[in-house]
Amino acid sequence: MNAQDINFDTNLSVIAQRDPTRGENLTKYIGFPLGILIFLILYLMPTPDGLTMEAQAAIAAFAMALTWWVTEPLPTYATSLLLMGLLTFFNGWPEEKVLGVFGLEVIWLNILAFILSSTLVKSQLAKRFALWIGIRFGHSSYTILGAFIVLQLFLAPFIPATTARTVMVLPVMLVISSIYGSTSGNGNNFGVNLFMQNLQGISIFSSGFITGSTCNIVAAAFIFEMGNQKVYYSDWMFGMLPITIIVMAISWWIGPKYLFPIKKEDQQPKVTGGFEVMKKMLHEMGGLSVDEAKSAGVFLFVLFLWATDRFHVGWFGFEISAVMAALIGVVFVFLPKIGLLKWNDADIPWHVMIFSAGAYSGGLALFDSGAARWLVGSVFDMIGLGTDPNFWTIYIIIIAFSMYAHLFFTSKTMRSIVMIPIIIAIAQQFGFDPVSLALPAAFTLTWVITLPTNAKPNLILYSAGQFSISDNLKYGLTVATIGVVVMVIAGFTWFRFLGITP
Amino acid sequence: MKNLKRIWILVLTAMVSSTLWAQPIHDLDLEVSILEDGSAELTFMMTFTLSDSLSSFQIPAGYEEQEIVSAMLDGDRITGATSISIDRSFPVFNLHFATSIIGDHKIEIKSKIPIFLDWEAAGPEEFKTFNWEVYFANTLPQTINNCELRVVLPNGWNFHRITGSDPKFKKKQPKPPYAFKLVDGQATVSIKRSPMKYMERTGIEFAFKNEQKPTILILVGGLLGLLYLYFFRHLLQKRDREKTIDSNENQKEK
Repeated sequence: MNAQDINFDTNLSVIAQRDPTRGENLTKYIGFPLGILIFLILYLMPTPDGLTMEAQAAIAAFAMALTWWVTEPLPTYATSLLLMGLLTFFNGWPEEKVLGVFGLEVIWLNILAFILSSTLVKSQLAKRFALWIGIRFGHSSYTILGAFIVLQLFLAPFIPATTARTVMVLPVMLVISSIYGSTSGNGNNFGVNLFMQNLQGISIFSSGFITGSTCNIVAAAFIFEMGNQKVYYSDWMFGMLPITIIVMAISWWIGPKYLFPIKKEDQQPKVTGGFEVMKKMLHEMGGLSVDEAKSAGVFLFVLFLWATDRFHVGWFGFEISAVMAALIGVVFVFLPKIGLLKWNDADIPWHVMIFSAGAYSGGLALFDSGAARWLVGSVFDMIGLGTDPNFWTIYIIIIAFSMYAHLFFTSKTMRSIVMIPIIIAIAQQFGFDPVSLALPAAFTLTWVITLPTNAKPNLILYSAGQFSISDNLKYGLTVATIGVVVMVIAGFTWFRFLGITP
Repeated sequence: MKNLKRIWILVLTAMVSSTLWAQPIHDLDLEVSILEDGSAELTFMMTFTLSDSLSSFQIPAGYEEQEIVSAMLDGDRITGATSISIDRSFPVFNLHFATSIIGDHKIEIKSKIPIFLDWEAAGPEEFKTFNWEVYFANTLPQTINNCELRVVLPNGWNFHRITGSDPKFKKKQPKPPYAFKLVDGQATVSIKRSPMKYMERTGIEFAFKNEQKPTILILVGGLLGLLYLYFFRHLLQKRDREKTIDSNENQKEK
């Protein structure tokens, strides 16, 4: 492999393409009429007891969109736009509120975060770091596996786009795996462990930072808007980051040891020339460029503002919100002469913004119309928890449900929008602090680690041919179950210490 | 003018019975059933305790234009020496007992308001919705411990959206102060205020619409579904590759 063949650039505005399987085509074929059928049944049926006609229309429109998001007869962004139209035309939510969603904090923060991540890619700082860590720690299988986990931990707070992180690290992973004798046509357990641990690291470390994923920001926005409690960057980070590190450390240990044992001969590098490729690439980059230094400065400054949000009032007399902190950084990178980017360098996936706006409007319509509350009440009436259930029973059910829900709901943002309002309503219904249930549940939203179809990074990594679907299922379910256990233990200990759980 | 009326009510009430101030109304349950012709049937259910022996008693009536249809005191129809009348200026129901009474009692008054809902003023507005409001105020000095107001819509109509309420629904509240229920197939919304002091009120503002939905949707939906199944039948036969879409394409500088 020549150094110049490795592409570190991202192009997030371009939607990843892949060949759908026959099963996916069948799902798509059935999904369209199924969505229409679900809408017609839910909309035309007599309004159920306890529900308004507005709430009924919101449920019908959202159920149809949900069906189409999962089965994808239309692109997800087109379904979102349709949902916004349906909510308006069938009077499920007022038009001004539907359109107003695009101006919410969550959308702005997404746009600004993608511009900042473009800076990191454009300046090639991410590439330099990836190469350095590969060369520095790539001399034994355990250290290099650990080094990649550390790399993912480092990248997560800086680059919210998991696809960008994947694309940046993938070339380095391919080089490293080939050094250890694992190629797409002839893989070994080193390759399985490397790719699976990165797949997990990308998703799991995203849950360590509020800005790690759109779904985290959406969840925090719901907790603020519906639960009336602000989740600060530091609240999220101190709460979840230690959990992610513990789980990834367990994954790093059990993978090569028990799940996919690496043969002794595969534990040492096999192709020394592979390192040379990486060294050559790093050498060609030369010393730290001015752009890289500027990019690092901007990121560290924004990260500093995000991490110190609760002290702002004392320092400045007002709080610099996450959006405004990112905005300050973005203003700097767009400055002529001293800045780093031109508008056309900013890689903003507008289809994701449109999808998020539609999904968010659907979720808010369900809440505003009382539909979410009604659904929760109906579900809990069916389960029969009674009027005074035990907090920990609900906590464990919710953590397990939110952890494994990614098996059925592909979009993290969608799960955030569907589940978090319902969990807040559950907490409110039974008199618990909304944060005590919604925040731990939100911590698990990005754990999309069980199947290649769970997330775009999974698909990209799967496309490298280093692991099979059954490998993914085996490793993913094991780590997800470990995650549930650790989260439950944390609920009794760490979260309680932090005041998240009672 | 409003304050003058309040003062006048207070003075008159004091004249009727000085002991009235000490007579709490435990529960007042008012059902306002709106009929298709715009009239409304009202049912007042009330429990109260008289600690002193009284020959007369007053109950807040809420609406000036109502006519009493029937009244029952402790399960017996009020006739003869015991009488009930409405004083529309306040408005209050005046109860006069044949002999003074004391202790716990229950009263049920049914009345009618000939023109309650003005359909023309109510709508129709966008999406064929109508807007109306129903409020009930405590026009007497004694506190009502629990007051519940229920609004029943005509058959075939349902609540679309609640646009206002008293007490108000604040975001951080776990539940709104109102609840919807279907009673004998009729859409009902109820709202409570506990306690309800002098001149406090409870009520609800709402948009409502006919439950009938356009059945043409079935035709349109069915047609769209069939068209999709026909034009995308290739999904069953061969693998399809989605074209790559560049959502920023139109912004890129060439």
